[in-house]
Amino acid sequence: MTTATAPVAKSRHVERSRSRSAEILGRVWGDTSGRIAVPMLGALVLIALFAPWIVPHDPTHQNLAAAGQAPFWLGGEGGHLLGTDTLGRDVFSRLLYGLRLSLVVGVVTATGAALFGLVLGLVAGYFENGVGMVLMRLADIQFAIPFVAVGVALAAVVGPGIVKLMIILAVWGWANYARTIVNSVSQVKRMDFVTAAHTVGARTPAILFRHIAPNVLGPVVILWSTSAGVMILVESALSLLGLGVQPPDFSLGSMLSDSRTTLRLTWWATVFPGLAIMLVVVAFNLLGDAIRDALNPSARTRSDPELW
Amino acid sequence: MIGYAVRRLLLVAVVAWGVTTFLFTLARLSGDPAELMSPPEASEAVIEATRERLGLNEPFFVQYGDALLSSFTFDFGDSFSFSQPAMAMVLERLGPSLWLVIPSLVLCVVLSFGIGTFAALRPSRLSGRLLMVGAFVTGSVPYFWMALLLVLLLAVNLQWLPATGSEGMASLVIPVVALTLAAVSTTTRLVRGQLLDSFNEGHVLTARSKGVPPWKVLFGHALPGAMPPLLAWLGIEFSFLFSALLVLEPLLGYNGLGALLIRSVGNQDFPLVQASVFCMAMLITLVNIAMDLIVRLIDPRLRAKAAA
Repeated sequence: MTTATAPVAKSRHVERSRSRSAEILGRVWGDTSGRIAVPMLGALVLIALFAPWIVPHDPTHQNLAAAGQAPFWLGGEGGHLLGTDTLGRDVFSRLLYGLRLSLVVGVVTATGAALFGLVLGLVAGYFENGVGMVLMRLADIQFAIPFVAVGVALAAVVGPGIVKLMIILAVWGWANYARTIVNSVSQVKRMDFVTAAHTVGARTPAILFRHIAPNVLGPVVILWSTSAGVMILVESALSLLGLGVQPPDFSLGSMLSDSRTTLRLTWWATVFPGLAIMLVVVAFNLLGDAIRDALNPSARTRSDPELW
Repeated sequence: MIGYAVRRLLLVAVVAWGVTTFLFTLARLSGDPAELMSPPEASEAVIEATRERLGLNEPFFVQYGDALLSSFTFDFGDSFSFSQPAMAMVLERLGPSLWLVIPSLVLCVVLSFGIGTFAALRPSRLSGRLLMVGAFVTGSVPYFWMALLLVLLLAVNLQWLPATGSEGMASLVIPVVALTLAAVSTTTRLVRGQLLDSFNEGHVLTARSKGVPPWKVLFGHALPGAMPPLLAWLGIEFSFLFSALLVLEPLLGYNGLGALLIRSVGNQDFPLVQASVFCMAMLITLVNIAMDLIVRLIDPRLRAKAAA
C-alpha cells in the first residue's frame, strides 16, 4: 500500500511547489521594481552575450593615431560612440566586453557565497550550541575586518587575478547569509514537521536540505540579488586598485583604473564605464526589492497616510 | 545588563585572537619575510641575521605566541620599509581617516533621518516616492566613481578644490561627499521603513487616537520605537565606511590609514599590515558593541526579555 501511495504524494508535492514559485515569479513581475529590473537585466545579459557581434571595434586594438578621441556627438573624429581612451581603444567596445566580466563576477560569486552561506547557516542553526557557536564567532571575526582589507591582503599573498578574487569573494561572503538565516533555522528546527521527519528516521542531511532549507530560502534569494550588485562593486573597487582583473583582460572596474590618471584628457573613458557599473547595480538592486516584496506581500500594506 | 556587557566585551578578545591568527597565517603564507626585506644582492649571512633578528628561527608555536603577545600589547614591531614603530605610524594616520569617517557618518545621520522621516510621513505622495527613488539610485552609484566625477567637476573643471592630497579642509570635501552619498541611501530607506512599521504599532495608534499632537507622536513615540535597528545599522555603516576608505584614500592621494594599508600590502610590510588591520578591526568591533549596548539601554523590550 505504501508503495502505491508514495509516488502520488510526491507528484502532488512537486506540483504544489511549482505553482508556488510560479506565483512568486508572477508577483515579482507584477511589482513596479520587477517590471523594470527584469527587462533591464535581460537586456544587459543579452548585450554581454552578443558583445562579439555588436562591438564596432576590436576592444583591445590600440591605435595611437586615434587616441583620446571624444565621442562623435561631441565632435570627436573616427565615429566612436563613446570616444577612445589614451591608447586609442574604442570605449564603447571595451564597455560591452567589460560588462561580460562584471556580470559573470557578480552572478558567480553571489551564487557561490549564497550556497556556501546556506549550508553553513543551516549547520550553524541546527547544531546551535557546538559547531554553530564556533561558526557564528567566526562570522563575528570576519565581520570586524573590512572586506577590502581582506581582498588586498590575500591578493598580496596569492597574487592578483580575477579567478582568485572571485574565490576570495565567494568564500568570505558566507557570513552574511549565515547570519541572516541562522535564527530562522533554529526556530524551524523545533517545529513539528521536523520532529516528525526525525521520528520516521530521516537522516540529518535530508532534514537540513529537504525540510528546513525551503523555509529559509526567501531571505537567501533576496540577499543573493543585492549581493550580486555588491560583488560587482567590490570587484570594480579592487580592480581599481589593480588587484582584480589583470591586463590584457579587463572589467568595467579596471577600465576606471586605466583612465583615472587621464581624467582631464579623456573623461568619457571614466564616466561611461562607471555609468555601466551603476546600471548593473541598479538592475540587481531593483530585482532584490521586487523579490523582497513578492516574498513578503504584507510589507507593502503600509499605514494610512491620512493619519498624519 | 552588566552580564550582557561583559559577554559582548569578551567578543573583543575573540575578534582580537581571530584577526591575529588570520594575519599570522597570511604573513607565513606569503614567503620568508627576511628574504622579502633584504635587497636582492644580500648575502645568505645577512638574510640569516635578519631571520634571527625577526625571530623567524624560533619554533612555530613561539612565533605564534609572539604574534598573539604583540596584538595584546599593541606592539607590532618596526615597519620594514619605514623603520619606525608600526603602531605609532598607524595611530598617526588614524586621525586623518577619522576626519573622513566621522563627518560622513554625522552627515549621513542628519540627511537620512531628515529625508527618511519626511518620506515616511507621505508614503504615497509624489514627493515621498520621488525621494525614495532618489535614495535608491544614489545607493547604486559606485562611491569610487562618484569621487572621480567630483574630481572632474570640482577640481578639474571648476578648480574650486584640490584634486588630490590631504592638506587643509578643502581636501576633505570630495571624499566626505562621496562617502556620505554612498552611506546615506540605505540608511534613508531603513529609517523610512522602520518608521512606517512603527506607525502601525499599538502605542503609536493609541497616542494618535487619544489626540496627542502629531509632532509629539512622531518624536515621543514613533521615532524611539524605530531607533534600535537603526542604531545597530549605524555600527554596520561604520565598518562599511572603513572599507570604502581603503579604496578612496589611495584613489584621491589622501594620507590616511587606508592609503597606508594599501601601500604596506604592496611593500609586503607585514608589521604595518598587521598593525593597521588589527587597529581597524578593534575599532569596528568596539563601535558595534557600543551600538549594541546603547540599544540594550534604550529598548525596554530587550531588557524585559533579558529579565524573563
